[in-house]
Amino acid sequence: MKEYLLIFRSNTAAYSNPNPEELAKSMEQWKNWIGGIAEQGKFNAGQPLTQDGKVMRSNSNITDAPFAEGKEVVNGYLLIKAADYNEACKLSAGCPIFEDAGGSIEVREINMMVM
Amino acid sequence: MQSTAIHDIVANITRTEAGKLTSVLTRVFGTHNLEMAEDVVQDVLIKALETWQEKGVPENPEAWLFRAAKNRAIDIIRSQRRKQTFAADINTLLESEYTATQTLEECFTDNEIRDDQLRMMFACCHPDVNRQGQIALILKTLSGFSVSQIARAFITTNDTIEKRLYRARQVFREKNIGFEIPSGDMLEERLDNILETIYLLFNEAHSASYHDSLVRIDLAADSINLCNLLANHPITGLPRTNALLALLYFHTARMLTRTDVDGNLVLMKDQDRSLWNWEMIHLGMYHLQRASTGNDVSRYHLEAAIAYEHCKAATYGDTDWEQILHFYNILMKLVPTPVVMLNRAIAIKELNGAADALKAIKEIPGIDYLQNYYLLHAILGELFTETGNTDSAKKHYEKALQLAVSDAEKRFIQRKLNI
Repeated sequence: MKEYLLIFRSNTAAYSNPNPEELAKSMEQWKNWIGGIAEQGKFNAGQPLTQDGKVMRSNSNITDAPFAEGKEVVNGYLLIKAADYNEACKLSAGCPIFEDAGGSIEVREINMMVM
Repeated sequence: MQSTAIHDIVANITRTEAGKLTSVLTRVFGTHNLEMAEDVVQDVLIKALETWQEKGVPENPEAWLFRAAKNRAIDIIRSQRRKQTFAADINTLLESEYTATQTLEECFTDNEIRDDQLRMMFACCHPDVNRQGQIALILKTLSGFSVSQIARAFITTNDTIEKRLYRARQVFREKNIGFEIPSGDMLEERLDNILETIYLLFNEAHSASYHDSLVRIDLAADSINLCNLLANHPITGLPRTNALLALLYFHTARMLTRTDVDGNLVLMKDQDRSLWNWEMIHLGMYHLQRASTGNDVSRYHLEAAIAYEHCKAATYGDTDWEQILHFYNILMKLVPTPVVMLNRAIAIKELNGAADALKAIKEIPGIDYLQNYYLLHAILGELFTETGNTDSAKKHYEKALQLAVSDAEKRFIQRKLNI
């Protein structure tokens, strides 16, 4: 079993304030999707991210991240277990991110370093 | 509003809601974190008292409490999730912000909370917790009793209760106690255990005449609440559960007439039957009816049937002792204990006279075990009085006087001796 990082992206518009019903519906979708992965014992970790951020180009050069209106931003990640890319993508297929404008998932395998 | 009035509101809401809160929080945190759940409930109740004194009581205090508990729970989950494991089946979901709040919301639905109270009952009555611990834990976690209230109910010290709770919580911490309603073969066995604990809890309320009546009524009401939860659930509402509930109602209906205003014992034949709580008797009848399906005949069925015979009789003279003796004969086979047989002897006395009753008592196997039971000697005193054997009567009344615990019992026997 390998480990995969799912990086979620969607347009900054996804952060615009949804009404409480939309928010509740979205939370439920995320819960159901991740709950399904957890039930198979394949959910390791994951968190959503806030809209702001910093970019550091050196240890002293720190700027606010330029998240332009309408641009795609990373808005969360998940760490899951899967046999291969094929399964990782299958597990990702039900993700609610695809309902967001510009929603996408980058699936990356964790590089197990050889000792 | 007066601060004492708000104290009362919080005290009342503690009795009705604290058990629900502790149950659902134990479901979320896991049984090994029982103390964490209890601490959150404590914090929330203190916060309620402070906030309500300052800003007034909210329109829906129950909803306020549940919201406060939910918020406190999510704070704890966020600050401890790296170092703590919560309930195993939802632990990973509580770790992620994608799922934590939604998972918590789903735990806090009415149906889940109702079932959590039952799960909590099964957890409290886990076979690894001893009986005294089970009772203390049920009262503490499900009935919202404080340690000193439990101590008062069992005529013991806070220290003793703290020790019982400590040992019980230790089992929770160390033994991976499940939080579920058992299924299959396990269900009946574990349910019997709970019913017995409720039965003992109730007996504590019912038999101990040294209690002030407020404590007794509180404990009785609580046994009824717990039993109602079980009786109204499709899985645990078995005939025997309904039979126990019927028994509790019948006994509680008559509880207040068992002592007079001065705290003296009043015998059943002298009780004012119009003061019996007829609403409770009707509830008892309803559950006795629900208990009468299938082939299950438990001790609770028979004891409820006997209690019902007493409730049914318009006067003491109308009591159907033949029917009562019939039930005792079956009960005696099911639960062949000296106490059951001693009670049966009273039915024999009413039916056939004191001499036959004395004979029946003499034949009770293991009657020697009851030599330190004041009621045995009180009964023997009365039976010997009726057969004209005043010397023996006096001897037994004196023994009873020596063994009686409460002042009410002592006064009662003293009056007999003075006649």
